[in-house]
Amino acid sequence: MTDSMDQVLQDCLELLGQGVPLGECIARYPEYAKELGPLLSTADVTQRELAQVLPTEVRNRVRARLMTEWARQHEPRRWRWSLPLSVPRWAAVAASLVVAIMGGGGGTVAAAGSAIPGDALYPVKEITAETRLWLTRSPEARVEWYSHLVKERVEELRSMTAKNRSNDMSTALRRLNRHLEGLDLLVQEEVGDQAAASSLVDEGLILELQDYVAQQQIAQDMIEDTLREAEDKAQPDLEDALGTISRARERVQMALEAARPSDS
Amino acid sequence: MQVDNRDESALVRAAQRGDREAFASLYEANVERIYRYVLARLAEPADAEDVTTEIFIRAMKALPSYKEKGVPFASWLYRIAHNEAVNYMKRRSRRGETSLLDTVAAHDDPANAALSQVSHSEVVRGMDTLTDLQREVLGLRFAGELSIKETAVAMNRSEQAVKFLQHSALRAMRRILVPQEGEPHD
Repeated sequence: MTDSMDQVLQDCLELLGQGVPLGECIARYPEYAKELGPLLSTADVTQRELAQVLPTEVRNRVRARLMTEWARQHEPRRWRWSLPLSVPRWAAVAASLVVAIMGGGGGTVAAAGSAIPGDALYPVKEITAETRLWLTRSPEARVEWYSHLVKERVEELRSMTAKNRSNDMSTALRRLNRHLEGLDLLVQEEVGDQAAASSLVDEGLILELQDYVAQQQIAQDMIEDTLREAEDKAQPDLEDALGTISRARERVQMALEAARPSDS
Repeated sequence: MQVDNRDESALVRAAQRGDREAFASLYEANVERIYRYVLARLAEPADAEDVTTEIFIRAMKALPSYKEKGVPFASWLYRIAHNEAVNYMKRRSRRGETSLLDTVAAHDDPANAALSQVSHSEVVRGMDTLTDLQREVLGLRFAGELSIKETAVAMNRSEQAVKFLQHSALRAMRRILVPQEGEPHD
């Protein structure tokens, strides 16, 4: 199998798509004729059989479910930053002030947003994120925030790899582990226990966790890509991150399946 | 229903702002090929319907974070579709379920099947024997009707790698669909 055969096959598939007859396509590449004929007829059959028509009733059913879900998703959301009664009012006010002051010094916080471990502004980014996590109390919103934090760490790892700053990776890895541990705990409390007691788990939380699983698959793909181009020194840390994210994703997936065993 | 790239960008932005009809239009523009792609992977129409629903719900939820700069909308949707199909197959295999096609297969005699009479189930069964990447390429190219470039973006591979996989997948399919023929010549 050669590079040129890959290209010739693709050229012929394009010609066929434009309505050029099979014989004419093959005639353009006489040296490949013996292999081209069988491959093109296989492609034709495969395409014909895979091009199944979507039944109208299926199209309408799926659309109806989606529109119901859209309405559910876009109804006014409950206040996500509500605090439980156990948090003293003074602490909530102080924390809000911290966030407000940091928000007020917008330039610094905004600049810190793209900081990576080792940068002078990185601690600002870290404190802002941790404060927001502390203020976020609804399980749904916390899952969403954890998902965001994991994505941030993956971006940092990619950025550090691109800049050959693998010495600072341990900071991102340590934080990544902390986010995933926090999420594990949340899943155990909100999904594990409730599932064991056969009580209903909040549908919104289930959807958020399912979204988390999908997002983490993308995060894994991104790290795999980064790994391919990383210098040797960075490889062990990236492999650690990959393993950690993958295991955490599987744990969430298992918890979801345990909570909804008949869900397909 | 097809929308051009400019219309699609406008629809995506409107849907991101919460426009329900814009999202419905994006659904209409993409559901046919997404369903075909999923059906090619899962074989069972009922499974394909459920997974197609899930894919669009995922897309709906993830829409606010979608950025046009990186990946075209269709390729982004196929990434979600790929993950959903793979997760579904894993769940199905963990539950020990088999596809109806496995049952059909036991009674088939592939040696008697001339290529012109090959059925949908034989093609899907043939796809089951391919590697993940080969299956993905055929699903995206022939069921999803993506171009080489779009397939490369959806799979996060180079166009050359996609052409190579397409070639190797078709060779493998030929061996499965026409077993009496043996290896095609290089």
